[in-house]
Amino acid sequence: MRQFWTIVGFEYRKILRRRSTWIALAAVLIFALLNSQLYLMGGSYINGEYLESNRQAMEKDRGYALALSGRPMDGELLTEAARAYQAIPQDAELYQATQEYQQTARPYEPIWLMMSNFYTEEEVLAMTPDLAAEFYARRSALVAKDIAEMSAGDATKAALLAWDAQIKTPWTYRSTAGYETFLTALEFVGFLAAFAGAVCLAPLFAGECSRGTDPILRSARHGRGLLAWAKLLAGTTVQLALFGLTAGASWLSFLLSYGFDNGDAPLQMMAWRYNYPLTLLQCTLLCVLCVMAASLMQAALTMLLSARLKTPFAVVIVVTVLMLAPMMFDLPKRPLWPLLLYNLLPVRMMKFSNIFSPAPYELPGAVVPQYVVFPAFALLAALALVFLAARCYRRRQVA
Amino acid sequence: MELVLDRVTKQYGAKLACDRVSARMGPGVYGLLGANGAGKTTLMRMICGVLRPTSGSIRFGGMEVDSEAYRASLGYLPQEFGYYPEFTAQDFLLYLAALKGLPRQQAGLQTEELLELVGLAPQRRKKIRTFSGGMRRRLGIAQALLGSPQLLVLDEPTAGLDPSERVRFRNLIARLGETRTVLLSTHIVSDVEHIAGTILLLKDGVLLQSGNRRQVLETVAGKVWTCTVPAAQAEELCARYPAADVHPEAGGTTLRLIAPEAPCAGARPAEPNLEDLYLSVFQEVSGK
Repeated sequence: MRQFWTIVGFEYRKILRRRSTWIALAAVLIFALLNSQLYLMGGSYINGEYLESNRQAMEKDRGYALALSGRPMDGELLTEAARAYQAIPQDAELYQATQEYQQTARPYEPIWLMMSNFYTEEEVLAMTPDLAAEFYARRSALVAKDIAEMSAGDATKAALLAWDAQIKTPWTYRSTAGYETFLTALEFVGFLAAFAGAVCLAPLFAGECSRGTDPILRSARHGRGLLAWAKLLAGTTVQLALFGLTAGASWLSFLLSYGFDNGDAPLQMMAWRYNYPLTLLQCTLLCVLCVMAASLMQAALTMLLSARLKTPFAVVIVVTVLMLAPMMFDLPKRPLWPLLLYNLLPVRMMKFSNIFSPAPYELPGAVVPQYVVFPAFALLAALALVFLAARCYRRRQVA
Repeated sequence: MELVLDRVTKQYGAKLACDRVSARMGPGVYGLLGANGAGKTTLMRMICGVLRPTSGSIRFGGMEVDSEAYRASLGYLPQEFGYYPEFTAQDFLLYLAALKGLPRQQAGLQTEELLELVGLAPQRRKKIRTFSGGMRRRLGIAQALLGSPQLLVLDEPTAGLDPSERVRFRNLIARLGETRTVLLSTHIVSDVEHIAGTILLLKDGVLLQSGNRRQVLETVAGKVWTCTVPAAQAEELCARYPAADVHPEAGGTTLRLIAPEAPCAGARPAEPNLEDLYLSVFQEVSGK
């Protein structure tokens, strides 16, 4: 047993002493941090005149949101928001250029934009407290219509309606900009971590082949069984660490830019169509879990390819193609089951919209949300792939 | 303990890399001689369990080649010795010691001893990427000796070593061969001649002959000739017969030729050696 941990230690050394590991790590951290600041770079112009930087805009909007934060999104607040919208001159060519917008309407913009999903413009312009009070009923009606038209089984539809009914109303108003940006960026963060993992783990087995150390290792007493498991353990933990560093750096960067509050805002503040009764903080944690599990599954696939192929370069190429291809196209929602199966690929599990839509998985006896199915499937698949990798390495021959 | 090869065959498509090779090897040093592509490395890889035979069996002390116990008795130095450039010599041996199942303390002691033995003790903490070819080879020899294996398989062990290192290595192998089975393959015939008790000749995957030096040289007994001839005639003779030695001198060119009968007038029979046998068996014609 002690030899196992000694071997694991040496496998870590092999991974960490490679220059490519540190280059990959530096690159993904830089990209992850840049990505978090991307939305804040640049500025906005009105009629060719510079108005403000995106960072200034974010800070201003955040200030407005803080002033309204914690208020229930009830008839009173919705009416207030509608009145603020009404202040914008209707004949303005570019409403953002008007003083009325900048001073009166802008603080309420997220609210009246949300309202535009359930009310016509005429209704917003003529908003009354009674009309405003219909907000949640209108949303529920639209959601029920979406669910009824879905290409899914009755059990799925009933479950979605039941979850939707659990969403507490009225919603508490919060600024969702930070979480929204992070959750959208999390897919890229997951991709970066998986790609860095591919670079670091591709030589795990294939490198022994290309370096010519395979014959010596495989002729040693523990050179097949124990060595394979030591490599797989080292590889899995390295991937976990890569993900932790990348996601952690990204999340911290977002929080420092956008603030640490607002985690208790409902998911629906960000995506009104989604049916799960979760807060943004819960969504973030679930997304991080899904993306982490997906990156582990991707790492397991990388290690299997490494055990199968003879050069790390070939492994990186195949893994990159397997990661990029599913990101490039979607399947239609009718029928639903091919899309749900397709979404079980690692990079598909990293996408925020796939984690909370279009539909949960109908299994025998239960309807299970994607944010449960994804990590469970990913971890089971990773385990299976790891066993396959060990078997593949044991049976490999040095030609 | 005895290494037993029973009709070991390796086939790649239509090509037979090893064809029903059978042998029994107890303690001692065995030299495997063969030309490039004869199947030596393939055979050694099968003996080390890194390549699966198409048919036949390999056992050492009754242990099957793909068992952990077999590998625990094995030390292998491949022809192409791979290493980790970023590891130090010490790290490398400790890593392999762990793979061979040595407890940590024993691993540390053996690492130190072996580095001393191969003359790499001063470089123990230097990275292998800074080593010369000869130093890497010596490190390879050291790792093969980790765990005091009962079966040592050495593929071109002296490649890249200077003459003094080669002599040192030969002496070491001769000592090791007293109590364990050592199989070494090499193109350096003198290495085999000096230390191998038994010589195995492999050609096109077939084990042609095995025996001690005297026994295998019987094949070329009466077929080795020396003569001194003019340069033009020397060229003609070299084109016709394998030439073990071509030595231009003032009075002509002295040749050592392998021929079934006297190749020219004045040719004198010579005592055959392994090099003569090698040329005779593998039909290499030199001097062109």
